[in-house]
Amino acid sequence: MCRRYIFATALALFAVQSLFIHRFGEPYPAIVMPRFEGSGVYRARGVEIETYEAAFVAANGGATTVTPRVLLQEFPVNNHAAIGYFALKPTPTQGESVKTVTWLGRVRAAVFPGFRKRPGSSEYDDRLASLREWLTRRAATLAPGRSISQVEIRWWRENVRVTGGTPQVIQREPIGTLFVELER
Amino acid sequence: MDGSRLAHWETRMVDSYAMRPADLAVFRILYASYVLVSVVPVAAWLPRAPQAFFNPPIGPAALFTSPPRAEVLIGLNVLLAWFAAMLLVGWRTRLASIGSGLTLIVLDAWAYSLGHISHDILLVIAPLVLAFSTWGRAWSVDGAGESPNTRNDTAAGPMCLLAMLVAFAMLTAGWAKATHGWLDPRLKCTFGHLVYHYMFIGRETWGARWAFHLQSGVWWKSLDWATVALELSFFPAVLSRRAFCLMLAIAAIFHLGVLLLFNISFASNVIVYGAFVRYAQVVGIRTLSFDARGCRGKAAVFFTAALAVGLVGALGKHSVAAILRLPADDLIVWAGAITGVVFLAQRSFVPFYRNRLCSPGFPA
Repeated sequence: MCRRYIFATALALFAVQSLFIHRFGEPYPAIVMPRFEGSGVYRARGVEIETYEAAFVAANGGATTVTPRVLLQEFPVNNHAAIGYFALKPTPTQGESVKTVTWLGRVRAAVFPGFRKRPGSSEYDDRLASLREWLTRRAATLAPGRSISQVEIRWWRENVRVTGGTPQVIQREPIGTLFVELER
Repeated sequence: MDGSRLAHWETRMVDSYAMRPADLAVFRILYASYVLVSVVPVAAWLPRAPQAFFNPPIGPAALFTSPPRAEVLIGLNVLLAWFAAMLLVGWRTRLASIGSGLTLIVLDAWAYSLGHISHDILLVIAPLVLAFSTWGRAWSVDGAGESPNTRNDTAAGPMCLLAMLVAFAMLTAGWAKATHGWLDPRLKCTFGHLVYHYMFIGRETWGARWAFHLQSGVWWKSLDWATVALELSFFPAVLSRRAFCLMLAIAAIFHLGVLLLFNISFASNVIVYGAFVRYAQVVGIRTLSFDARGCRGKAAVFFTAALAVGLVGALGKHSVAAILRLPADDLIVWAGAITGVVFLAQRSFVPFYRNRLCSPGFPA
């Protein structure tokens, strides 16, 4: 092992890795520990949380509503937030083509075709089909015996404040719903 | 500082991380046991995920556009179990170390292909770095018949590099927090994340319920600052093995706090901190080694048993620890915290030259 300037080398690598993460997001593998930035900052009026519930709507109008934890119980709990934000949230980009403008973006898309494959024109149909198939299976488990025609992923922005030692939702507003028609 | 003094200082710093092969052998066995009992299988649940959930970060999984078939993951887990069993008995240790590290990277890349990274990178890099150490020289097939306490075979370089990587990883966490509001006196970041994890993720721990009664802004802000200070302090601390071990002890206690409040277990970190413990001095295991004649027979038995444990996990849906309802990760975090407390108590109440748990050099 080269012992000279090891400390300076480590600092230089830290700078390069930080720059990479800033530009492209966190890769894997990377020498990184949890950053706990972003959501979850408690201000004077509480903490703002985006959450959702999944409603399995029957053809006759009734609905079975479940929490994210129940909906995604096939997967480890630490994946639930990432799955929700990526795959179950209605976004303005849904259905739009991915625009690769820069040469770097084109290279990245060629080398890492799975990276940030936002729903694009052709991929979107495949992804929606796979989501529909999965939700159909979940409907059979979570609402057995009912004829589920549609699943609605209803998103809310909640303001949570801790009063008297208990977290309480003090404000809740809807921010969008993802509608998925199921196979019959 | 002129060049020769800098070189001398660097040599002293690196050499202070020297470990006996016997110490590293204990760590090698702990590491391999943890992988076999608690880590395998990795990503066994992934084939159930629809393509819509596939959202890998840049890395090996992003080379593909959908999750792999179940057979691929089973094969990789069997390979990991095989390498970990080799590591346990110290058979072709360098190959087993590199194999374990690389297989873990590939499996973890798939495990994180739904967008969430669990930050157990230290568990991955430890065998890759220690492959070039002497952790296969004692209690092993490779080192059968050798003395485990050879003084001139100390693995200082890889250990120093591992310390540097641990400190580096901690620095990334501390730096991100420091530059994203954790130092802002108006924000309560730890408290906010506690509420977020409790309400959204569903981590309803008794520790969180208890902590919600602590409304003092000073307390929560102090916790934010203390967290950032701890994570940033690792990097300068790595210059002194004594200071680095002190940081490891505090971090081990910190991880217990995270477990109790958030129900997030950093057992993988705690296991890697164990690489810096001088086990031989603590539990009096200075002279044990495989007998050269009986070694292969014993090793074959241990290897077969270890592989069987790994295969139970690799071919099933749950780890052996989960099947036995053994909270292995939680126990490791608790053990780490207790070790940290004992170490700090020794530093506080026992004369420094008698400190045995993480002492520098090789006392007579």
